[in-house]
Amino acid sequence: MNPLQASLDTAEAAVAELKKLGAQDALVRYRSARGVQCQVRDGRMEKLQESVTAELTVHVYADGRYAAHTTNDLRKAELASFLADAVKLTRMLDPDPARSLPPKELVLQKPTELGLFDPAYAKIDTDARKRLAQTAEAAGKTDKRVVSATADFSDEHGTTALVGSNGTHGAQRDTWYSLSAEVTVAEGDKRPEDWWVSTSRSVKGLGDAEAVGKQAMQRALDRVGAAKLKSAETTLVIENRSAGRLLSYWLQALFGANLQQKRSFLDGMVGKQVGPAKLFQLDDNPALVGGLGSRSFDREGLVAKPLPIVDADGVLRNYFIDWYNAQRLKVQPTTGSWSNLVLNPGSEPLDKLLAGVDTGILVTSFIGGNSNSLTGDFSLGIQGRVIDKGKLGAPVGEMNLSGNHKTFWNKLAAVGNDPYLYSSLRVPSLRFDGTAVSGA
Amino acid sequence: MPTPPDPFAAGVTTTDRRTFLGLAAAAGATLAAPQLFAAPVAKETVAFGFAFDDLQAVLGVALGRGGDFADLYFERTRSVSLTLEDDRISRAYASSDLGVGVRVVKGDAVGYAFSEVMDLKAIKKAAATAAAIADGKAKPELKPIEIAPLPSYYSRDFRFAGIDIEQKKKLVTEVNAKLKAKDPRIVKSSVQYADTDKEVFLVTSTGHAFRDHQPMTRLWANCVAEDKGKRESGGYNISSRKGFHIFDATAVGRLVDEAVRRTVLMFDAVTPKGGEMPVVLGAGPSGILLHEAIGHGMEADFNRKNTSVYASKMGKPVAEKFVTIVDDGTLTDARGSIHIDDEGGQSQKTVLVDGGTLSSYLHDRISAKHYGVQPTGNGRRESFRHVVMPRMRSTYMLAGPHKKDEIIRSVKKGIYCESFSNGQVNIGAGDFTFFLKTGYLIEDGKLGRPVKDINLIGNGPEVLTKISMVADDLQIDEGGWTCGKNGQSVPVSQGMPTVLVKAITVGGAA
Repeated sequence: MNPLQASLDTAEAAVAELKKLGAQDALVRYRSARGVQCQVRDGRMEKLQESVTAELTVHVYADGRYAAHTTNDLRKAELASFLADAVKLTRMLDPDPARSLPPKELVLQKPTELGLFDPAYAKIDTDARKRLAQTAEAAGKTDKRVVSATADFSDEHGTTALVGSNGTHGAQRDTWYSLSAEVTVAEGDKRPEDWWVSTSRSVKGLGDAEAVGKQAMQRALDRVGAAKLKSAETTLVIENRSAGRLLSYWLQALFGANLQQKRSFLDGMVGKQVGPAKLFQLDDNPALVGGLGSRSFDREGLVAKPLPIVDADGVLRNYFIDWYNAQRLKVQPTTGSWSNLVLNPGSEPLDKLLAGVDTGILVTSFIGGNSNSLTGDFSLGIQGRVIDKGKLGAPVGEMNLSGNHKTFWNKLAAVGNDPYLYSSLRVPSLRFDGTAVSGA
Repeated sequence: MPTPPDPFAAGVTTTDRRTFLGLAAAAGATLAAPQLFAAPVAKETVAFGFAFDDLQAVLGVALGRGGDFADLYFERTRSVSLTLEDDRISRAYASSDLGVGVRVVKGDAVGYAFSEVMDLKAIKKAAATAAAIADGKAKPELKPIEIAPLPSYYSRDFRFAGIDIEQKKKLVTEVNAKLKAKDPRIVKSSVQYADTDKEVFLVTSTGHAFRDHQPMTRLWANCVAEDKGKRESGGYNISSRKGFHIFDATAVGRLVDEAVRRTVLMFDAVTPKGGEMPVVLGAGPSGILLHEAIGHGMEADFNRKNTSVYASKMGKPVAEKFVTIVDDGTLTDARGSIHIDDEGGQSQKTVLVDGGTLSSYLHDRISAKHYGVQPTGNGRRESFRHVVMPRMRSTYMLAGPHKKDEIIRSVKKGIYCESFSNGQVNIGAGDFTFFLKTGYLIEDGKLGRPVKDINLIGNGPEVLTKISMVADDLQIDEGGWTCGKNGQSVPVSQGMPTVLVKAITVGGAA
């Protein structure tokens, strides 16, 4: 049988069974997937793993109450008792008038074609995986200072069906590939390391395997001799690979659950400026063909639509509000989370951004740290390179960047033309002026 | 391996592929009593419905291509969690997970596959897939299987499934009522309860086998307080392998007191001026420093690959003589305790730094064989879907010769650290971080205003040499720490006496 239809059948049967057991409503998600991971070190395969999984998650709405339940034990008798227990547990909770499924007009009945599935998947065999990983690994150890290079080729092919008693009905196939390399080099007792990864929905989209190994090696070599600088207020250029992580902390304050629980520093800020005009413009775009975060409908079945987050004037336009929190907050829902979050790119490449900096630091990665979605305070470990008169200099490490999101994003002074494409956060390199870093 | 994107799930971010530690979410309990060891079939079954000869047959397939070693890891995990928000328990999550992982080892290489379908044909298919890490042909000799007795560091008889859901609801409701009664400035409170019953059975091609029950529970209390138009948040959590009765009146009292205290304390908190300064690590949660600064770097897989900053330091002095650091799987009821590791290695107390000298790595079977030493019982895996790696259990420093007051008095200007949320390390360069949630300024030997939400960063081996005082007040933290490495999460514990580090870089204002 067509795998999409088989998945839909499984989900439909569970919805019907839950209704029979007394649930007023149910939303069921069924996902089956196969993944392979092939890891190469010293020219040979060090790990080969195959993962075949199937999982059923049921969201049960019974007598004004709600609970979610997941199982991978799909044997007939076990599944029947699992569903009966699911309804029983749900009924033991407290009633919550905000718990319901969205009306039919807000949920999708047929997914759109978004290029999430790569028809070439079936042709990839273990040898092909091994060859790609070997190519990346070999390219990552051409310098004699390399003490270890590891390359990893991972992929997954899955089918997901979402069926709800409110009319939600759809299934989609997807693929995902990743080729990564980690390289460690010698520096006395120290072993500086770095990594590079290419991620795509199609095997072709991974690009040149050699480039992955080379990038990882060059970045590891660039770490040799890292030292901390004196604490200062300085210019930071945050490379596209890491800029998404910084933005992801800001995004936490947009979630409905944080707004409802009074844990958001962006509470009450819709319609107000949150960043510099023409620089800090954010859009959520679920419809990018082949995008890592692309989708036709979200977790709750809400139809995915483009959503402006921050407009060209730097004004906050929308939060990420799922159906449940929309009911609690008595506002219109948008969607529960971002799909492909795009920070509108500028026109200059990274080297042009650097060229405009007299003294500063290029941040190539963050290490550790955290952020407080209520107050906006954040503090993150940084490493990277010195920028001196527009040129890259010595490696920098063991320093912290601290600030508050409410003021920090106003320091955004330039945006690169290089959005990072290996993540659902498509953020280009960013320059911030006058930021506090602490070191020696 | 990075998480694959899911078209229906939340946006996918690229995370740093480093090891991290955090108070991340876990879930936990059971709806029906598990019947794992007594399936109703005709022949005598050992575990999960299979007999000895079934297990031997699967192991035979696993080694059929010339692998050196194979094991089968059967697991049934049932979890329940309850969440209370806005005075209502309006969310529950229950999960049931079942499967068997087949691992084949050939030298340092691993083949791995698993089956979520509990029939012999499906498991043999997984075994054939894993077997392909070797590419020869073999007729393996299999030893008779013997089931090993286990020590007792936590109860194997207790089942969360046996506790009525009403009792769990009552606990959560009680904590919430106490949070709200404690301070009128609390405007939002939430409570989460989670428990897990995990049944495992392992059998190896060398004839070793064990069965274990691994209970886990956790209770969180979180608050948002408002005062003069200013809002702050805070929380506390307790986790243990002890049964439901861990949450007695004393524990609930502590949970409530700490959650509220850590929230309202923040109204006075300041951001310190950043830079290098002396740091006093308070007893208990500060064990996070050991986890990041040395624990990960001592995991022998990194050293075998020569990628750890500690790879060339074995047997050498790394700290003052009063510094002894252990990784211990045997603490009674601790979150990080294990009766036996996930490949059959005896749990133990492993000494990483003995009187200032680096003394042992943390080994799994593969690394121990590589180094020609005995495994240290650190071979752990997240679930039947995951390969074994060297992982920590409960990592802590033994008590030292100094006193807490004397340590604080010795600092003219610095930071006193009380609680943390997460940390991270780069194994090779040795740089590590830990994130401070609550602490205090130290001015002229006295605790001053509270500080919050600041990252601390240092270099592992350098920071070890800068530990200049260790107090006699060792505490194991009761928080629910979860350690992440190569995409696998395992529960751990950590502990520390009060310690002085002469200099470390504290984040803050310029």
